[in-house]
This record gives sequence, C-alpha cells and structure tokens, in this order.
Amino acid sequence: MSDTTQRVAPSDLEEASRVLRDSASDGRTLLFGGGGTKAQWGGIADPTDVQISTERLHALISHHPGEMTAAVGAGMPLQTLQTQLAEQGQWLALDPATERHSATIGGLLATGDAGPRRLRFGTMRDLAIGATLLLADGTTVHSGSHVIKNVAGYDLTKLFYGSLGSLGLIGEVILRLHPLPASSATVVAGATAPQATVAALELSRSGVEPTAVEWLDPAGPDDDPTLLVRLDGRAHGTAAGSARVAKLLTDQGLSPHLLDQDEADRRWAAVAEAATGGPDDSVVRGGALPDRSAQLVESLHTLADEHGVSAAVASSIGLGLHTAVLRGPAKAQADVARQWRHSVEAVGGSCSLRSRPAAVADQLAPFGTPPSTAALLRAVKLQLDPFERCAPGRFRGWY
Amino acid sequence: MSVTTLTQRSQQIASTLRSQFVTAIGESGVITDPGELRTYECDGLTGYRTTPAMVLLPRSTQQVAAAVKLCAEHGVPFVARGAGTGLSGGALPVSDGIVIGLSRMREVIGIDPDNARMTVQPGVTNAGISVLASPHGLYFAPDPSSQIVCTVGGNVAENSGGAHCLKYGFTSNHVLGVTFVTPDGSIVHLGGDNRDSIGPDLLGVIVGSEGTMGIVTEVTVRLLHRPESVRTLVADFASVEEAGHAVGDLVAAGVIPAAVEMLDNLAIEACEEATGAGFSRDAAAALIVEVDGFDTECEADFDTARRVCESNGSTQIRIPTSDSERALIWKGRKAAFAAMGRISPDYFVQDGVIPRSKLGPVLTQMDEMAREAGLRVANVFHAGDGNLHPLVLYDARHEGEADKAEHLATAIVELCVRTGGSISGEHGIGADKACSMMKMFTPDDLAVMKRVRDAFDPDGICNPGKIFPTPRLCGELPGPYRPHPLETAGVIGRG
Ligand SMILES: Cc1cc2nc3c(=O)[nH]c(=O)nc-3n(C[C@H](O)[C@H](O)[C@H](O)COP(=O)(O)OP(=O)(O)OC[C@H]3O[C@@H](n4cnc5c(N)ncnc54)[C@H](O)[C@@H]3O)c2cc1C
Repeated sequence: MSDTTQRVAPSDLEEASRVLRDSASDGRTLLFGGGGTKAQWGGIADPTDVQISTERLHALISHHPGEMTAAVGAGMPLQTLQTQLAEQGQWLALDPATERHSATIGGLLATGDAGPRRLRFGTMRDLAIGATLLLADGTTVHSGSHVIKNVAGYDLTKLFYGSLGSLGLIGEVILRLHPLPASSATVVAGATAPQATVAALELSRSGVEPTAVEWLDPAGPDDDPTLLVRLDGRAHGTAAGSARVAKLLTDQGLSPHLLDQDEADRRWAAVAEAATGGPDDSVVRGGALPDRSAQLVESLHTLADEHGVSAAVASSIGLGLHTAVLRGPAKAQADVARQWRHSVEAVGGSCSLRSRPAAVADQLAPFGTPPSTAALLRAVKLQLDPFERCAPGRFRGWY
Repeated sequence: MSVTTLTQRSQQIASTLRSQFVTAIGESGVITDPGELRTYECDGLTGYRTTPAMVLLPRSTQQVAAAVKLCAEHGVPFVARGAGTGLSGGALPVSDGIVIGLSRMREVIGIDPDNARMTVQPGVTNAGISVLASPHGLYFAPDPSSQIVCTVGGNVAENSGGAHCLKYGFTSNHVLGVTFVTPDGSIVHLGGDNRDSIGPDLLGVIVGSEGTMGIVTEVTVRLLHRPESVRTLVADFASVEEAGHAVGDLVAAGVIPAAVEMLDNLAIEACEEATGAGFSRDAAAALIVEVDGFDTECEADFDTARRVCESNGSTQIRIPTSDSERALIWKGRKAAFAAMGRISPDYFVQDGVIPRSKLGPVLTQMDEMAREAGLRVANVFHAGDGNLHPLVLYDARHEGEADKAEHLATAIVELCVRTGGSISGEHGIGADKACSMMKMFTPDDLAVMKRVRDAFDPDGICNPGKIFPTPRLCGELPGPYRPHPLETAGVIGRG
C-alpha cells in the first residue's frame, strides 16, 4: 500500500460502480479487500492507487429459508452470517480456518478458501449460486439466481472463484444453504501419514459418509500426529456412525476414541489454527491425488529436516490437500517451499503460497509452473480488465 | 429455420477443404455425402434443421486439434456434437459450417478406483461411465434421463442434471478436469489432481458453455461410492398443489432427499401406457421420493419423507419391495418424454425453473393458461429443485395448433422468470432460447458474457448463433428486458 493510496468503502453497489467508473477515467489501479485474512494468498499485489473495501457491503440482503438460499453483500463476515442463519436452523456449509478472523463471503469466493467439511459440502464453487460482479470500468454484471438449478448463460460466478480480485469486484453473492446438523461427533486417533492416508481411503469406501477427515501433524516434538473424523447429522445417526468409524480405525491398527463436545471443539480449533501460521512463517498449500498424501508429507519432512526448518501440516487427507506451515531461517523456508513444490508437481499436483514473511517473498515465486491455460487466463483478464488495473501482480508469473 | 439443400459456400468448403481434412483425420472420418450429412442436421430439438457442409468424426485429441486448426485457418465455423440428444438446438449445425462429431472417441483412458476418478474420451456415454465404475462400487452421479445414449462430452457442455442432482449436484460438481481444444486449435488442460484449482475457475465456466468455447476431448470425472442404503417411495396425491406442498415441507424438515420427482396425471397416464411401471392412473399427481446414504440416517430420512407425504394428504404410498421394482419406477420416470408420443402426436418441452416454494401456485397458473389456450400440458419434472418440464401437447396436423403451443410454451417460461427463476435448469439455451436470454439478463450481463466468449473464440467460429440473442434471430436489440421481481421488490439491486 503506498502513502497516496485512496481508501474507499462504498455503502452500496451504485456507489461502488461510481467509484470504479471514476477510477477508470484516469486509469487508477485497484485493490479489493474484505476481512483482509487472505491478502497474502498467491502473489502480493503491487501498491495500488485505490483500495476498495467491502466492509460496508455487509447486509444480509435476503434469506429464503424455504428455498435454502440467501443473498448477501460481499463484505458480510461469515461468522455474522452463520449466527443469523442459525436462527432459522440453517448454515452456509463452509468452515474455513479464517472464519474466526473475520473472513467475508466475497473474500471466500475470490480465494476458494474452505475448511475440513468441504469433504461433504464442497467449497464456494459449489455453494455460491449467483453473484453481482463489478468490472474495473464500473459495469455491473449478474450471474446465476436464487434457484439452485440454472444453466442459463455462462457461470461468471465460477469465473470469479479463485480470481483473487484480479478480474473485478465481487459485490453480492447468492448462496445455497444447508440445514444445521442436529448433532455432530468426532473420533480421534493417533496416526502416521501412511496410516492416515490408508484410513481416509477406507473411510471413503465405508458408507458412513463422514463430513470431514483431517490429519494434523503439529511440528512440536511432543505432539503426535492425529487423524480426526467428523460426522454430522441426527443424534442417533452420528452415534451409530462414530461407532462404525471407531471400528474401522481399530481394524486398521489404530486406537481411536470418541471426543466429548468440548474436546472436539478444541481439536477442530487447533486444526484451524495449525493451518494459519504466524507472521514469520511461510504457509504453502499443496494438492495432489489423495493416495499420494503419505508420500508428499514424507517428502516435506525430509526437506524440512535437511534445511533445518520445522514443518507443521494440516491435511484434508481424504481430498489430498495439505497446508504446510514452515518455520526457520528465511532462505531455508524458501528452499523447502520451492523443492516441495517440485515434489508435488512431479506427482501431478500443484502448490500455491498463502503467506510468507517479507524476507522469504523475494526468494520465492507465489505459484509454480504456469498452466497450459495461461494464455486463456490472460485473454479473459484483458477482456474484463483491459488496462490491467485490478490487483496488479496478484498472479505474477502466470498472467 | 430449415436449410435442406447445400449452399454454394457449403459445396465450396466440401470441395476445396475435403482433402486437407482427409489428411488431418483420415478418409473414413470425413463425410460429405449429402444423404449422410442429413443425419446430422438436427439434435433432439427436431424443429430446427440445418445441413452442414461437412461432418468430421475424429478419434483423438490430436485429430480434433488438427481439424479445428484447419477451420480456424479458413474461417469455417464448426459445431461439436455428441449423441445429438440435446433439447435446445445446441448441436444444430451452421450452414456453411462443419460438424465435429465425437461419437468415435469412446475410449476409457484410465480408471482410478482408489482416488475415485475416471478419465474418458468425450464420446463415452453417461451410463457407460457408471457401468465401468460399478465393479469398484462407484458410480457417476449426474443422471440425465437420456443417460443411456447421451455422451459425457455433451453433459459437460450442457452442465447436465438429472433426478439425483438435488443432493449430489450437477455435472459441474463432478468434473475434475478436461482436455480441451480451443478454437485456434491449441490443446489445453483444465483442472487436474489438485482439488484446489489455482486462479479463476475456467473449468467451471467451460462446463455449461454449450460448446461455444472449444471442444472437450477428454474428461476426468469424480466418482462416488454407492450409498449404503437407498429407500424409495411413490406417493399419490389428489392434487398437484398438495404434492407441491409436500416437497416444500420435506425440505423444511431438514431432509435433503437424493431425488424428488413429480408426475401429474397426464404424465402418469403416458408413462403407464409406455412402461406399466405401476403408477396409479387415477392420481392427480405422484411424487417419487428417494433418500439414500448411511444406513441410520437414511432410515430416519425415509420416515420423515413418509410422514410429510401423509400429512399433506397423500392418498396412497407405495414402497417398492425389491431392487427390480425400484428400477421399474425409475424406468417409468425416465421414459416420460418418450412416452408422450402415446398420448399426443407432438409436444414442446420446456425446462424453466421456479423457486420450489412456488410450485403449487405456478402449477395452478399453468393449468389455467393451458385451459385458456385450449391445449393440454403434461408435467413430469424435478420437483425438489423446482425444475419444471412442462410438455405442451399439440397436433401439428391441426392448423395453427403448433403456433398456439409454441406461444403457450414461451409464456410458461416467462412465468418462471417472473417468479425469480430461470429459463433453463438443464437443457441449455442453444439456438432455441437465445431470444429468451433478454428476459433474464441485462444488455450489460450479456455483453460481459460475450467478452468472456471472445477471450476463447475471438473470431466467433465455435458454435456461433447459440446462447446469445442476435438481431437476426430476435429482432431489435436490446430486447424487452424487465427488472427482476426481486429487484422491483427492492430485494436485489442492479447497480
Ligand atoms: C429423452 C431425453 C431426456 C433428457 N433428459 C435430460 C435430463 O434429465 N437432464 C438433462 O440435463 N438433460 C436431459 N436431456 C438433454 C440431453 O440429453 C443432454 O443435454 C445431454 O447432455 C446432451 O448430450 P449429447 O451427447 O446428446 O450432446 P449433443 O446434443 O450432441 O450436444 C449438446 C451440446 O453440447 C455440445 N457438445 C457436445 N459434445 C461436446 C464436446 N465434446 N465438446 C464441446 N461441446 C460439446 C454441442 O455443441 C451442443 O451444444 C434429455 C434429452 C432427451 C432426448
């Protein structure tokens, strides 16, 4: 952010559109922001002339409990929304680690951030069924609607999923909701990465349908890695389900036990915390096929040991997604992150950087090998933002 | 619109470019015989016909890319085609253009049961995927009624749905990656092994883009494990309103059924004529409710479903006692469109979506509109997600009836939009509903979609004339856009 940056927080979409139109007249560069929890995801944007905050676009515009949909301003904090929806026994089925740190709906769509229960409910890609989007020149565009099933026109909501503010401003989002589960249960067991990988594949075949299967490997010498399996549903359903999960894990040679509610909440909070990292850490997100999980975790630990870096890992192991938090000398962090990215790419996966201290930033590109679609991404970018004013630098190296 | 004789330009394309296409994909993959070309003149929407200049039947991604590159070099428009079961004229050829049929690309590239995914060429049928996955206890969730014949490439292009999308989502929720030939003939890969895609979700845009951005030449799909339990019931009702109400109550009770399908009396009659699936001919409406999942949860959901139907006045509830009886119920449901031939020589199918809480009133209003027009409208549809399939029945031999039916069909779709719904839930816009797009979208909305399209296809040679309203097709532009009702009510804004 430069000293001359103008900060604007429009209170409605008309004002936002006007601000954008004005900025177009003299080609000012733009950065959009919500709760600020993921400004470090991907490339760090260059300083821009204008920063537009969605903080005042925070309304619950409509909630149709019978349709199980709601429309919200992009600046609506997820936590606030969940409280309001809970009054009607509903929720947005999304539990990202950033929820407790004021993550907003717009930011969640722009980044694709999600939590453990994406195993069952997916991400904003599946939950956002429409959006109002504002391009750099102020053009306001609508995509989708309040009905979940809708194939009319291109799905521009998905185009903005993962766009990190590089295509335009997300103004409003229409969401698909789910009924709040009456009960949930969590089974925990100590498990190494290979054990957790096998257990996750077995669980997916078991018919029990867990809502989350996470593996947490804290970096501390006294902390053992654990597998957490969550079930949501009716009370007798989660009871029967957790008994089946415990049996399955026992058959795998693990020693599972059922957590009481407080302990379960504490463990899930620890999972969220583990994926976040501190100001001096680099956070790398890697994904590959689920059956590669053990191999990738092992390669991370080998690299970390070689370079004298401590590495904590939180994995959505049933989906092959791993968040690694690296702590240690800057150069060593960068080396581990870079080399681990090679390992992940070598098995067909990919990585992106979610956070890094300034000293690491100079030594480490945010993304790996550009995809074969880089030219298409660039063409889309130039169609929607021809003067490249939105979030310059956010996809540095790609488009 | 029907062009049956080859234009001069078509003949010219066929004669000057034939040898180059033969070099690119082989003699057996190039069709120019006018008789054979006619096989490709329409899709499932048979009212629109255009004979293409040439049809190509490639066997590999490389052949598709070579063919598309030639089209790009010579400015020849092309249209991808799967099985041709589309119901919106999406695969309708362009006169003076080429059809690229994917029906010979039917190879399975790999099955990975541990990671629950499969990669296939686009000509593999939807049902074929589940057949191949079934030894591993897996299946492909999107289940359009046409699944025995329609291709996965067509499913990707249309973002097809089916009865079980209520719980499991549409094609876009089940496609993990594609290999794609862009309109300049480049080969790109979208999606992949990382479930966190990085950057704007181009794959999500391509799914459902109706073949207007390029040609899908490989698809990696996500497979699901077969649910442990499946319970199905058929509930009869004395009115469609009661049945509609039951659907709302079911959802309000916190149940997400695998499927909720409704048939009205006309549809029941047609299905019974065709399949004898055992629906009650005297019921005003029938609901097929299916719940599935983990044993204990599934049983509880099933009890709730039964209770909700009873409390909404269901006159009879039938619970199939065997897998074969359950399969017959679904066979009856899925044969519904085809069965209409038993009760009417001709019909128009619509595909509008309404908020499900408005099912009762909208069905009543449709009934009134039909009576006013002096026509019959049968309804068989995905009630759980409000996706109507009104079939406007008519007899083309009676003068003026086709026109009347078409008007009624259009009026019904417009009614759907007025309730806050959509002009299409799964069949797509294609050539058929391009003009109705103006009912749902502002000129700005459409212009931005067009810009995205231009990013993929700057020369406009890839399935031109579909989705977007044009003055030639629809008269003066911009069209009769009216504010969305939620907008009028101050619920949503348009900036
Ligand atoms: C009796 C009947 C029942 C139906 N029921 C359903 C239903 O329940 N749910 C539903 O969603 N649909 C349904 N449909 C519609 C239709 O079957 C689907 O849209 C289907 O996905 C089309 O597949 P296809 O292979 O026949 O595609 P086609 O009709 O050949 O093509 C459809 C569109 O896809 C494009 N396309 C095809 N292949 C490719 C490719 N490889 N790359 C890029 N573009 C491509 C074409 O250009 C065209 O725009 C039904 C149709 C019939 C006739």
